This record gives sequence, C-alpha cells and structure tokens, in this order.
Amino acid sequence: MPVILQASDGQQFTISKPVAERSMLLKNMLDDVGENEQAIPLPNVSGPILAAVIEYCEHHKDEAMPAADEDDKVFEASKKKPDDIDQWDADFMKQGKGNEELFEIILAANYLDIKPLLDLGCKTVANMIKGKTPEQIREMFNIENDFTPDEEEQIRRENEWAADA
Amino acid sequence: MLTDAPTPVRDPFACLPSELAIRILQLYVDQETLATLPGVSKRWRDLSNDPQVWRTRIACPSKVSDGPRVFDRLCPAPVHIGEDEPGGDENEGSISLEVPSAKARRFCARFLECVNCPQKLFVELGRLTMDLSDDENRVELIESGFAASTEDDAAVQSIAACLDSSPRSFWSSKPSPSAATSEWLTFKLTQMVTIIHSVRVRPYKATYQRGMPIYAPRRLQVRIGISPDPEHMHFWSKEYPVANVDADQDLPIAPQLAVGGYLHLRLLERYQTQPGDELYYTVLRRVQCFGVPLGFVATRQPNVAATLMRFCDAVYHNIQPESFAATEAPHEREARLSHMLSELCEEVEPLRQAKSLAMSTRRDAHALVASGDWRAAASLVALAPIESPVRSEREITWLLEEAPTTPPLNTAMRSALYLSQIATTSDSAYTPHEATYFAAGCARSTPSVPLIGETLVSPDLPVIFRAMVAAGRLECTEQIGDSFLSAATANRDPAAAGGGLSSSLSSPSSQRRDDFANLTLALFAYSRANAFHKMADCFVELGEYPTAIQLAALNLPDQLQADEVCEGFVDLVRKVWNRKGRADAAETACLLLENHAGMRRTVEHALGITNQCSAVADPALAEWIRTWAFADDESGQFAV
Repeated sequence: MPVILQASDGQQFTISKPVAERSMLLKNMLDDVGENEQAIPLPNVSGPILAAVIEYCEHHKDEAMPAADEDDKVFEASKKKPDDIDQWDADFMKQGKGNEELFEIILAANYLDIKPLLDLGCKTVANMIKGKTPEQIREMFNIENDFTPDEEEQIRRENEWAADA
Repeated sequence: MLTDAPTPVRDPFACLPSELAIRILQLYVDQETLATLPGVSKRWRDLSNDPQVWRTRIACPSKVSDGPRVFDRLCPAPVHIGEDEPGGDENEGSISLEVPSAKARRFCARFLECVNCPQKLFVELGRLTMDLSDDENRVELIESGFAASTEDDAAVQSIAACLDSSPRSFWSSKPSPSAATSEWLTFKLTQMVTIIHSVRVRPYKATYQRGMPIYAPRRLQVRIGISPDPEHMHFWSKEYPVANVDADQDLPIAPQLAVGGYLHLRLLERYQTQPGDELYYTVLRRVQCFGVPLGFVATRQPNVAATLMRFCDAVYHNIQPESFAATEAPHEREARLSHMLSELCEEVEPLRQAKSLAMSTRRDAHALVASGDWRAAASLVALAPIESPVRSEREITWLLEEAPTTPPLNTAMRSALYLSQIATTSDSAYTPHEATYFAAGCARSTPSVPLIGETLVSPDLPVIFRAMVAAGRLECTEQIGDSFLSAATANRDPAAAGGGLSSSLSSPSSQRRDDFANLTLALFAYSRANAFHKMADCFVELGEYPTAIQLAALNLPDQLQADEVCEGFVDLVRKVWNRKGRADAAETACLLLENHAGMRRTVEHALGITNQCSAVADPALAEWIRTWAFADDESGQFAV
C-alpha cells in the first residue's frame, strides 16, 4: 500500500510504506491512523527538499533502523565521528545543493524524525567548520563580526587554553 | 564537500534553531574546533558556551574526535563503564569483576549532577591532565595498609610490609593448593579525596629459596572508592596482566579520572608454588600509588576540586544513608564542602612545600651538572632530606649517568660510593641507618653489579657491600661469604696463631681491622645464604667459641647418641686447633663438655687424648684437658 505525501507547495509524492517508515513521525502516524489513501500534508517541508529526503530514504530503506534510546545519548556521543560518512551519503549531500538546502534537509530530518539523515546533516555542517579560524568561518558563511574589539580580546583570553598545549 | 558550494551561503546557526545548533556542537564538533567558535559572532559564542554542549563532553571519553593536545584530558565520569570483557572462567567463589553497567551509570549520572560549570571543568581537566603527566607534580598517595584478604605472617608479612622500599620486606598471602586462588589488598590514601594517576606493583623474588622463585599474581584489577568496601567502590579498572618478574610494573589509571580515598587491588590467580610445601602463594614486595591529593589541585583547578568534592560527598552519603546530609540545604552543603576542601588544602600544605623545595633543589642540581660541577650536584642530592624526591631512584640514576667520565668517579659504582660517602659525613644529619638506606638507593641505581674483586680492594667495602645487598643488587651466596672469609684469613699465618684471636685483635695494625671487617661481611653473607656451618667458621676466627658450637649444633641430628663420636663437633674442635692453636681447641672442648651431655668420646677423639685420659673421671676431665693444653709438648696440627 503506497503512502502519499504532500509538500508545503502542494507537490505530491507517492512512496512505498518501508520508505515512509524511515521517518519515525510517519511511522507513528501510519501506525495510529492505519492505511489511508489520503495525502499526508507536510506543511514544514517544501517539494524539492521532500524529494531529496525521499531519495535518501529510498536508498536506505533496507537498512536496520538504529535503536533510538535517548537515555544513551550521552554515551552514544562518544561514538560519533564527524568524518565517517559513506560515499553515497557524501555524494547525496553534495549534488547541486547549496547550504540553504542542507539546512532545510536538517530541519526536515528533524521534523520527520529521521535520525540517520539528521546525523548526516549535522556531520556535514560540523565538517564545514572543522579546523577553521573564526575569520574563515565568517567569510565562508557571510557572517558579520558583531564584537567590539574589547569583546574580541576577552574571548581570545578565555579560550587561550585551547592553544597552550 | 559543501565548502565548495556556490555562494550565496548563509550562516547555519542563523538558519537552524538553537536546539539543532547545540546538537551539532555537542555531538559532532571536535573540541579543538569548538574552542575557536566563540570568536565568530555573538550567536556562535552563546551557542558554543552553552552548558549542554560541555556537559556531554564531560561524560564522554576524550579520545574520540579530540586533538592530541590539551584535550588528552582525564576522561570523566570517575567511574569505569564496564566495557572490558568479563574475567572469563572464574572459579567458584571468586567475585565477578565486571562493573554492573547500571551501577556505573548511576555513578556517572551522579557525577554529572555535581558539575556546576561544565565548560570550566572541561578546560581545567585538560590542564590537570597536563599537570599529572609530569611526574614532578605527582606524589605517592598510599598512607597505610587497610586490610588484606590473607596474611601469611601477621607480624612480618602483613600488608604494611609492602609499603617500604626494602627488598627484604613483603606481604605474603596464605598458601593455597590452587593457582586460581585470588587475593585482595586495600590501602588508605593520604586524603579522602585524591586523584590517582597510576599504581605500581613489584612482585617479590625469594632470593633465599631454591630457584629464587617470584610470586606475582597473574592479573590485577584496581578499584578506587570513598569507602573501603570494594563492592561500594565506584571505579573499577580493567584487568591488567602482571608479569612474573622481579621488576616494577606500572598500571596506568589516567587518563581516566579516578578519584577516591581507598585503593583496592584484586590480585587474580597465581604463578608460583613454594619449593618445599608446593603450595601457591602471591607475594608483593612493594605497592605504590601515584597521583595528587585534592588539596594540591584546589588552587589551579578550583572547578575540578569543587566538583570532585561534591561527587565524593554524594557517593559517601549514599554509602552512609543515615547521614544528616539528606536534610541539608544546598547552600549549607556547599559551605560545608568548601570548608572541607580548605581543610584538605591545609593538610597537604607541608607536603606541597616539601615537594616544591625538592623541585627547586632538583633544578639546582641539574643546573650544577649542566655547568660541569658534578660533585656539587652530588652533595646537594646526597644531603637533601632523606625522603626528598630529589633522592628518588630516578634522580640518582640520572645523576650517576651524568657522572664525570674521568677517574676517580668514572664508574657508576665509584660515583655511587662517592654519593654514599657524602651522606655519611659529619655535615649530614642522617643516622647510620639512613645513610645505609641512601647508599642502598645509590647501589640500586648503578647499572650493574660490580665485580667482587673490585669491591674487595675498596676501603669502603662494608658500607657499599651492605648497601648492594640491601638493595637487592647482589645475591648473597656461600661463595661470596667464602671470598670474604678467605680475604680475612689470607694474611694470617696459622702457625703463629698460638695466642687466640683476642690477642691478635688487640693489635693496632690496620690489617687486623680489615680482617675484622671482612669477617663481619663474611658472616653477613653466610647468614643471608643460610650457611650456618660457614658462620661457625667465622665465629671460630673471631674466637667466639660458644656461638660457633651453637651454630655447629644446628647441623646435627636432634637426638645425639650419648657417648658416640659426633663428627660435626670433632670438625669444629680440630678447626679451632688448626686456626687458633691447642689452647683454644681445649677451651672449645671444655665448653662442649659443659654444655652438651655425652660429649666425652667426641672430645677425646677430637683432641686425640683417648689413651692419655682414660683414667680421668668425668667431673675432672675438663680440668685435666686445660692442664694438658698448656703442657709444652704436642702443639702440632690435625689434618682436617
């Protein structure tokens, strides 16, 4: 039985149930309401972004779902490495997407509760800023430096510990 | 990746809600990067300083996604999460070594509750790791032995006997028929809250036993807690393999943050049976624990100190639920803990001062060596307080390595001797015992055992030899005793030895003094080697016949047959005759008659007077022998 999703711009997508169930939000919804031919409205997700999310879910539909144990988050964190992204996922994040799309995918993954995709998005952002100086980060993201010189000096002092090795 | 994406690009943390931004910073950004992010903008600063970001990091092992530098910090929480494999096929009755993970998590959660300012704590832990990695900053933490699973001899082989540096004292378990038997030892540390860096154990080598066996445990687990009860301890280490060798073995605890007031060692299984009873023992010559008392870190790492006080207090009061702490208001608790912390600081102040004095002495010594004045550096070290770290094995080894390459200090041995001499001069405040102790340390630090020939010509032989033996650098054998004994007797013409040793010792000649020194060393070596009959020879040389007789008696069967010739005593009497003359032999014979029943035939045989005295009655025999001894004839020797 296929599932129909409707993006914020009205675009509709018909997908199989295993693909839809990569999203914990959709899985719970389908469990609650049962099979239904009506489109599920997703007002927080635009058509192009939903298409990308579905592409990701299609690719990963046969994988085991990661155990979502929030209590373990603290311990789990130690296992996450920002650089172990598999090739398909890396290509997926690259294909013609500006970082505007990247942020929207993160938001969509968060909203739809697709943990592996959220992970992937977060790792991608982390990799963008890894090892950069504040100046490089400002330049990369067009961020305005809103510190006064005094504030900047204070921050430098507070974070000296990182350089005193 | 996306770094090459076409512009325009937007600030991720302006687009994403704080919750997601924090998630990224918390879980995916390495710490080195994280430290630079506050400099980007106010929004980035606020997000990177969010306690949530740092709280997670404090509870996680540091090795993941950290740079190799300051972030190699201690990894909290101060509990071990049971990630190691369980101990395998444990025998019945032994205790499982795996920390119940639920228990570990409770402790971990409790630790996180004690963290008030995660970022500061994190930063301080980085500094603390750096401080701890320098052994100048560490001290020995064990205050006393608390309890042992077993003690083979409560008087001399107790847990306390593995706390000194002597190679002769040790803790021994009771024997067991099974190699699978485990033991444990619990020690009290200098403060209720100390940070442990490492544990060092030295298995005991029984040099006096056949084959010189070593009695190490096969494996070892370290536990650390606030209470001495091992089941209540919150830190359980992995199991360390222990090699069955006579050497210090270091078990690193850092970079795990281990904090507590009691150290518990589980000594798992055994290697060695004792020759004779063929039972298994575990024996340790020394246990040491290194780290810092909390009083040391309170100034430099105030957040670490305060957090660990809270943690230990929480753990302690959970163990003692009847405590008043349950009804205490938070600010009262903070006040109490900060008072306790200041007491801990005061308590270790003398230790801290001694340590800092020692470190400045050490710097001075290094500077003197660098400037070429090795002797001045040696004096500085040799005259430092006896327990000063400047006189540690490591420092002495260093000093000996730096010794001049020109005579007379061109060998490590001579340099060690020089150091020992300084320690025994009038300038030093040491007792002879302390001087020997130091000489032992010097000897221990020399790279090899010198040839006995070299030491024999040294005028400082006694001190250095004792030191070598005490330091375990020289195994005392009968052979070494023989070389001293022959050195002591080489210069004496036996034919001239008519007047007994008392007269020869009264001679002022330096030769006699050297002989005496060599004799005492021979005695020392023989006694270490359990060569009683050879000790008797030394006492013969010294003219101590009653002692010689008693020692000779040790080698005889328990039941002496009355009126049989006892060959052991015959040998002794004839030896006295040959070394000291007929009068002394007669005196020895009389002592035998007086102290041992049924010695008549032995004495007659030994002196060769069987036919001459057959008419003399028993009570008059001694008198007859004395008269006979001073008669002019028959002063020849017996061939032994």
